[in-house]
Amino acid sequence: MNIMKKFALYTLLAIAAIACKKSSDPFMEDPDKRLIQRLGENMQLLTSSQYGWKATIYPKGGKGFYYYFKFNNDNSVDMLGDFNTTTATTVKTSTFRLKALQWPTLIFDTYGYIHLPSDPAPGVSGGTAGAGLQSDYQFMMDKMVGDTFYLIGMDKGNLMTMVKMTAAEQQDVLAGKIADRMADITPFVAANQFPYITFKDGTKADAAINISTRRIRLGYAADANTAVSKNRGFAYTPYGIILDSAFVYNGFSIRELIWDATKKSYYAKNGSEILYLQNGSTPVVPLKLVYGPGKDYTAIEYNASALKGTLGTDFDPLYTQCLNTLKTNGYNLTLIRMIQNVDLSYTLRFTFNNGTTSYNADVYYKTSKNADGSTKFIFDGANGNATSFLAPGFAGVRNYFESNAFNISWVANTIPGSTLILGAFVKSTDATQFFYGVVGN
Amino acid sequence: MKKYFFLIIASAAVTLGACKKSEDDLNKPLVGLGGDTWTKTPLDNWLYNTFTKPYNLEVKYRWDGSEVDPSKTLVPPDTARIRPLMEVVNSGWISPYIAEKNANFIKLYSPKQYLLVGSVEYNTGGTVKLGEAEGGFRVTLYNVNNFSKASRSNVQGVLKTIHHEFTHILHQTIIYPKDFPLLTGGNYTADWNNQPLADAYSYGFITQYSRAAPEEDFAEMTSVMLTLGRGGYEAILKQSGVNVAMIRKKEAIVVSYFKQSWGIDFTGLQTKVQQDLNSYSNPPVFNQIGFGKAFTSITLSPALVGGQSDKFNTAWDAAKAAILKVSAASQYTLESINVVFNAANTVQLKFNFRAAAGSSAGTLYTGTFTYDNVASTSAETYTLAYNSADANGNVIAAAAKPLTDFFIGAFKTKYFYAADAKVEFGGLVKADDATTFTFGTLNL
Repeated sequence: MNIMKKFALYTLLAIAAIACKKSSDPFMEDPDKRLIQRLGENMQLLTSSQYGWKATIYPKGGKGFYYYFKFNNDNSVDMLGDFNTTTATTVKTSTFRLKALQWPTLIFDTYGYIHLPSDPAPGVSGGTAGAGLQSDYQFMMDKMVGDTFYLIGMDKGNLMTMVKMTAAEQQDVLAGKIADRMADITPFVAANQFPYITFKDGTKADAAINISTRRIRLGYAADANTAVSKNRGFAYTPYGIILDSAFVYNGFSIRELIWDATKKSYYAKNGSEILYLQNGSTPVVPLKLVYGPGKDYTAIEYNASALKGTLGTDFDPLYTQCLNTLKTNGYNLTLIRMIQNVDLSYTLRFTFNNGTTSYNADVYYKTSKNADGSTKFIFDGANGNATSFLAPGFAGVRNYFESNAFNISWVANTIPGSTLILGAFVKSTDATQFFYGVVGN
Repeated sequence: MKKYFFLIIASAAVTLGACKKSEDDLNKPLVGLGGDTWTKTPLDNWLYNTFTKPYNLEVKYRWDGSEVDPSKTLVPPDTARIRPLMEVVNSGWISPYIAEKNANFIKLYSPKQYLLVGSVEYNTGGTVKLGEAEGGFRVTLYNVNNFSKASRSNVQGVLKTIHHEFTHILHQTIIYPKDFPLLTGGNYTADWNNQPLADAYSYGFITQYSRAAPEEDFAEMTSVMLTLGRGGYEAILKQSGVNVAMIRKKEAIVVSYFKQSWGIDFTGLQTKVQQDLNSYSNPPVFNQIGFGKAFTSITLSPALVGGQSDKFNTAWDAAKAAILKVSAASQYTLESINVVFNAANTVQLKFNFRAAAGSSAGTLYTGTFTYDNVASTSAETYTLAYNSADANGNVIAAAAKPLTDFFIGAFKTKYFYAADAKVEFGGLVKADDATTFTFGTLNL
């Protein structure tokens, strides 16, 4: 065989080998077919729940919402939700459809209660103009894990979870129990200013409820110097409130707080263990753990008019004296604040005005720690207003801080008619005497 | 060598040709082909039968994020609001055109899609968008969830958008006369939204947006005249600081354009839009008829404007017969009455009567009766009390009493329409009796 023959033979063999490359089937089945099948399955899943679904969504713009959906085969969906009392008691029927976008998608395609937090009109959503609460009404149907259907918002990326309801749950929702629970929380917060929970090991955790922002702050002192604090959004269920995610302490997990109508309080349940919220006169986490730059509070503000009265400590006459001295010079003292700065130094600030312009007189302090743990304030300068002709007016208050050592602590608000959260710099020598005011930033 | 080469080619051709590829499946389902589907509701059927079937006009209300600006937060419309809104579109836009022209006209020139959005669209400047049109194809209506048929400004806003955009389609089909853009040629500006309305009026524009471009000017003129009606439009022109002469020129061009280019009677169209609007929301008629208002007098002539109330006809017939007998020689014939709001607290009734015989035959006389008038802005009424008559009035005063008595008391103003709704009439209705009224031609 000469070389030419060999060449021809191999070429022919090569052609024969590669020639019949059959277009292979896709790795899995045809994507379009799978998509249609998936949409069909999801439709089946949504409409299969005889008693409807309960869903929660915690939009990026704040708050949390609980919905009842009953998906019907004719693309209609019945809805209730905890957006307001009306939405919690009046069933509204709107429509939905499933569509293959980049993912099998559930679109609530006409206006229902689910759209309220998304509404760009601030008067409707309670959010900002043009954005609402940044909620969603188009969802990628992600996965079913256990009894929970996970959906991810297409526009803002909020997670919505849905769980099939039982007959009893549906009955409760339709009976307007969401609205009942929404009505219960206001008197509860009024009657329980500092609710807390006591775990089995004796650790107490604050459960500070903010109704208007639908946030609950759960916090406890991990040790003498550190506080663990978690802010959770919540929504109203027919039975109480449900948090955006569980708060776990030592194996005890709190996702829901259930309302007990007889005890007029909430409880958390974990297995057979039940813990009720109790009421304290001050928060259980010491103020010193949550006071300071980057923490919950950085200032204590004495404002006689906001306080609606006084607690009657030895600071009160000093305030009055300062107020009167400024008044004889033509100024109105509005408040005195003790602020901890980012560098851990303090500013004692007097705010006053002449009816038109507001002024600040600032006195700066460094601190030193005493052996008993109390803090001493060391004068470190003052601004022009503080050293002006008004200086004699500030002298009494300054002297109070400069000649005593203090511990920071909560104080119970016993002023009639006042519900403000009060903190104080308590004299190390006498726990009944202190500079106090509203904790804030 | 050549032999082998040929062999390779031939063999390759045979081998490769033998590879018959498994044929493509042309029946593969395409996801989303033919648009979205869902179970049709009564609303879907109504929209189909009212718009899609007769006019090839799609009304899209189910949310489709791909149709709107993805950077904006918007919500879908509430189904409960859609039918009232689209009824207004049908009765306030389609029906008047069909009555003045025909159904084919709408079929031929209407936009092909209405897209409904529940909320307004917030612009970055803090303003909001209420309507938008893309070419001649689509009109987007925002704020559907706040639509209320009873709110006149709401309905006017919607109809103005629709009429504005439809005017664009018309002038893109047949351009408006060349002199239109030249009228206020120097005052068009892209910065129209930062220019005060007072400036626009003083240059001879009907709105701020009119200043954007001549075609917007044309569409604004048309849509303002149609949706505000003659009363609302004239009320604008009555304000001080408005270049009335210029706006009148534009008005004349619009009216003649509709007549000459499309064979449409603009006044008839305007009247029909107003008649529809007034059928479900109260017009601000008290602010448009009266002293210093858009219309300051009404000409009553039952012979020319029929459909008067029985009580007025009775009074008219009695007075006319009696006036005829005042002078056997002259045979005065009552022709019309002008109700003139001549001052803030008086109204004059000018009786026009003609001598039908005698030496002055053919002479027209006017007898004036003056009434004291108390205008109540809160009740929107005029309360008239007879005061006096002039010399000519005294001649017929006794005979005219049935009519002069008719006008004593409290009246509300109202717009009236004849069956063909070609012209808008104005009139007075007894405040305590809606079945007693008279109406006639409105004069500026």
